[in-house]
Amino acid sequence: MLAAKTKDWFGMTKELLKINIGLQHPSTHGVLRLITELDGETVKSVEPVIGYLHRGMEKLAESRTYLQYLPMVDRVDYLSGFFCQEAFCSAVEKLSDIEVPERAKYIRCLLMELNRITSHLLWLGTYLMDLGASSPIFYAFREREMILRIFENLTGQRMMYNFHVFGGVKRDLSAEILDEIEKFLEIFPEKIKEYESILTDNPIFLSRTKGLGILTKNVALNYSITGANLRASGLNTDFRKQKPYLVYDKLDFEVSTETAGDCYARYLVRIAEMKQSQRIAAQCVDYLKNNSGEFKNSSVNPLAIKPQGEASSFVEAPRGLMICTVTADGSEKPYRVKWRTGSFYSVQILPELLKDRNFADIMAIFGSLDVILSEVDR
Amino acid sequence: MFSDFFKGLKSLFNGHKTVMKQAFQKRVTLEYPEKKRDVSDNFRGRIEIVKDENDKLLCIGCGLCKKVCPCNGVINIEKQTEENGKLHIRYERDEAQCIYCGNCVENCPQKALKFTKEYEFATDVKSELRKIV
Repeated sequence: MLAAKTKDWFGMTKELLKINIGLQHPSTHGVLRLITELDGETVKSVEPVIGYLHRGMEKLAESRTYLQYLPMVDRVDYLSGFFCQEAFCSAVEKLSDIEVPERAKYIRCLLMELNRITSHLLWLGTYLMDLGASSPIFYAFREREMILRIFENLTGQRMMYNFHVFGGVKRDLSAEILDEIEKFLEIFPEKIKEYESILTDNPIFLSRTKGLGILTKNVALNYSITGANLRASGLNTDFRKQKPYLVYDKLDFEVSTETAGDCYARYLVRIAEMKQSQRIAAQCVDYLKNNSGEFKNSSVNPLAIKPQGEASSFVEAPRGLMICTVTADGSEKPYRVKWRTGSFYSVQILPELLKDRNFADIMAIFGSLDVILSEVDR
Repeated sequence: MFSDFFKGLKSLFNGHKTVMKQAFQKRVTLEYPEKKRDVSDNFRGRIEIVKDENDKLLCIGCGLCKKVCPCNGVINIEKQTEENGKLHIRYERDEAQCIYCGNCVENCPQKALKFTKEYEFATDVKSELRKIV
């Protein structure tokens, strides 16, 4: 479609070209439509259109009991199901004063950090694919597969875990599974070195990412960007440190930040986060091996949960801050469930970041933000 | 300019090194339809309605599975008492609706439902996915 006519130097009519990217573009990680206006190769404006993966996650909660809604929560962000489960479960636990045993907290922590690694690995693979390198995705999937096998052995499924229960987790981690996790955590630092050896100093990768899509600290804060994208802009925010939930206050880890705010900085932050996740997971495994205890609060009857009031839970998910707010009216169904997810805000920033960039940079910038469309539309 | 050239050469070398290292390792993929991977005992595959040795359902028709199901996977449970006092149960579930979350299996008081390791049940006839026992 042709739009807005302008005249160039020689008095010739110049037209901006309107191009639709998506719905089903392999680089959009879901179904996102970008209406772009091009002047030659330069992007003049971008309008993201969302809502193609809308499943009514919030409305569905209102017609289901707390236990019935729990399996659906994984689908809010299908790449990091444990985070969604943790967000919803801890909100309900806060509402109905359910105590979570120490061991269950460590198990949740361990699973979430492993889940963060899988999520970042998938990002790494697909982002490099967007940039045109086809082999890193195989290396990333190789390691991701190892964690997914562990999850499958433990929970029964690879992505839709449904492993949390109100007041703990469904199953205790057996010694074999802990050994499997330990084995993975031992080899994983070597694998990160492998990714870094082919990427961090690679001139082609550097020229595609360095200085591209610069997100300054102020702009990021104005658009409510959270998570790794904000940390790459130089702000040291991490809810695991600021407002520790579960047992993060007892674990030793660092928050990785970069100051440049470009695509390369976002890559560096995510790589560093994977290293930190590995460190946290190793500490959790160490605790779980040496301590025993209850893995769930057996006094809770999930069928009889009827809380009253309102509670929010804050979870530092791989794609930014995840908040689940549950409003309850004393009946067996929640009155309202509200999700706040990081990707939604990352999509908003696109018109700002992509303006006056080259057409080929659209996917390089968009990919670096790590957006999952299931999380945007919910 | 020369430093760029050497950097490029170095990354090229690194890339090849990584590829060659992987080339001499064990394959990580399987040729799927011919070779299949074992799944664990916890695997949430097709749900089986358990019968005892006399070919009688363990189900007592309490309807808890229907109550905890998030997606109408359990369609109908009919309880009938026959003249000789025997309880007859007609259990109907729809595998096309089921999301295999496991709520019904975990909450069943009689352990009358069980996960199997079966995961290949794609079909072009929708009625095949409706299980009536």
